[in-house]
Amino acid sequence: MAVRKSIAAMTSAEKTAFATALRQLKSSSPNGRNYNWYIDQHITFFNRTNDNISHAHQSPSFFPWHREYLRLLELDLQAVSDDPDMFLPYWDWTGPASPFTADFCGAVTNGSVSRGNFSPSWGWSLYRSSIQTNFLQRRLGQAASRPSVSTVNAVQSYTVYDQSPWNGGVSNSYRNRNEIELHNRVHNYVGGHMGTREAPNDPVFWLHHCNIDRLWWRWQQNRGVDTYQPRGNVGGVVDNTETMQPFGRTPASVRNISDLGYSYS
Amino acid sequence: MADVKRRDVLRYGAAGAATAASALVGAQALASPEAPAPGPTAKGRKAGPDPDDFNEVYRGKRIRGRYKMGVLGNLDLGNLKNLGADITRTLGLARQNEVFVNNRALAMTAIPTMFFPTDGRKPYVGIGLISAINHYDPVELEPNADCLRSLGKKVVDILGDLELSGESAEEHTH
Ligand SMILES: [Cu+2]
Repeated sequence: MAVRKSIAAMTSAEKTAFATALRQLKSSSPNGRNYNWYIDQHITFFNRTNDNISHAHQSPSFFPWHREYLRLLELDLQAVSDDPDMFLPYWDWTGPASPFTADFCGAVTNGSVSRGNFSPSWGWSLYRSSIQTNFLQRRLGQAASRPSVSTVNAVQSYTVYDQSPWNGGVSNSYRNRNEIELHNRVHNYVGGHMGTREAPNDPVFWLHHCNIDRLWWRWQQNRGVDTYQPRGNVGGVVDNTETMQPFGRTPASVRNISDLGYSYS
Repeated sequence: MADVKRRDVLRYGAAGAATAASALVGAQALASPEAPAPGPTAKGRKAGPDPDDFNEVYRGKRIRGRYKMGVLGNLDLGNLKNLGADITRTLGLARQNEVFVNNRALAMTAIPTMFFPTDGRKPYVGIGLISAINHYDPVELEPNADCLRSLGKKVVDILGDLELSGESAEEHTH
C-alpha cells in the first residue's frame, strides 16, 4: 500500500531510493515492462488509435489513462526495489519545494542535466528523443510560469467533468481546464524534454502527473468519485465502461484510488 | 510507410469531422487583433515544387517553411465558427505544412484547442499546431505562413544549441 507524499515531506533517503529505482527500471523489467516501455506508451497513445480514439490526451480519458499509467509504474518501482511501500511522490508546483535539487531530480534547470541522478554518467539514457542529445534537457521558466494557487482553485471549481465536443476546445470542462491550464502549463514551465512528446524521459514527469492525479482525486472528493463522463455511446472517445489502451481497463475501474492500492497524504 | 500514415491522416480527419465541427461551432472564437489578412502566399498553390514561404536565420539556426493550406488559407481561421464543415479539411491540410530547422524536418499536427493569452485577452478556441517539440504548447494556425515562422522560432528557442533528431520528422495524429 503506497502512501504518496509531497516531495516537501520526503526524506533524503526516500529521494535516493526513488531515483535509484527509476534507474534500475531502465535496465530491468520486473513485471515485463522496463522504463522505456512507458515512453513508448506515451508516444503511441498521444496518437489516435486505429479506431480513431484519443486515449491519453485531449479527451475525457486523460485523467484515468494517466492514473493507470502511474499506478503501473509505482508497482514496477516497488518490484524493482523490493519495497512494497515505495510510492510516487507528488510535486505541488504552487509551493516552495523544488524537485530540482542535486539529491533528487538534478539541480540543472537550464540546459543539459550533466550531473546527478539523471545524467548519463549516472546511467540515465534518453529514449526516442526528438532533440538530438544524450543529456536530459530543461528550460525552467523560459516558455511558461507556474500556475498559482488561485489558478488551481479556479480550475478545481469547474463542476462539469467533461462534455461535448470532448476535445481540447471545450471550455466548460474540468478535464480540459486542468489539462491545458495546469497540466500543459507545467510541462511548458519545466521545458526541454518535459515539453516534448517523449516527456517521460524526465522523471519529474511522474512527480508532476502525480500532482495532477491528486488534484483530480481532490475534485472527486468534492464532486463524487463516480463522475466520469461520457457514460456511454459517444464515438471517438473512451466511455466510462470502455477499455483504455494499452491497459485493458476502463475509466470506471480506476475511479477509486483506494481500490488501486494507494492514497495521498 | 509515410504514405500509409498520410492515408491514415485523411481517414482520421474525415472520421473526426462531426466532433471537430461541433467543437468549433460553439466556440467563442476571437480573432487575434493583429492577425494579418490572408496574403498572396496563401493563394494559388498548384502542384510542383513549392518555393519556401520564409527562409531566414533565427538565433543561429536556419528556419524555413511552406504554407500549404491552399484555398483554405483564405478562410477566416480566427473565426472558427464560420469555418463549418471546412474545419475537417483545415485540420487535415494543416498537417501538410512544412517547417525545417537547419534542414531537419519538423512534422506537425493540428488540434482544436483553447488558448489562454497572457496579454489580457480572454481565452478562446482556435486551431493549434503542435510538433514533437512543442507538444503541450500549440502555435495558433493563421491564414498565412507567419504561424509557421512562429512555430520554427519556438522550436529554436527550445533547442538552444541543439538540433532536431530524426524523431521530430516522424508523423503522428491526434
Ligand atoms: Cu503530461
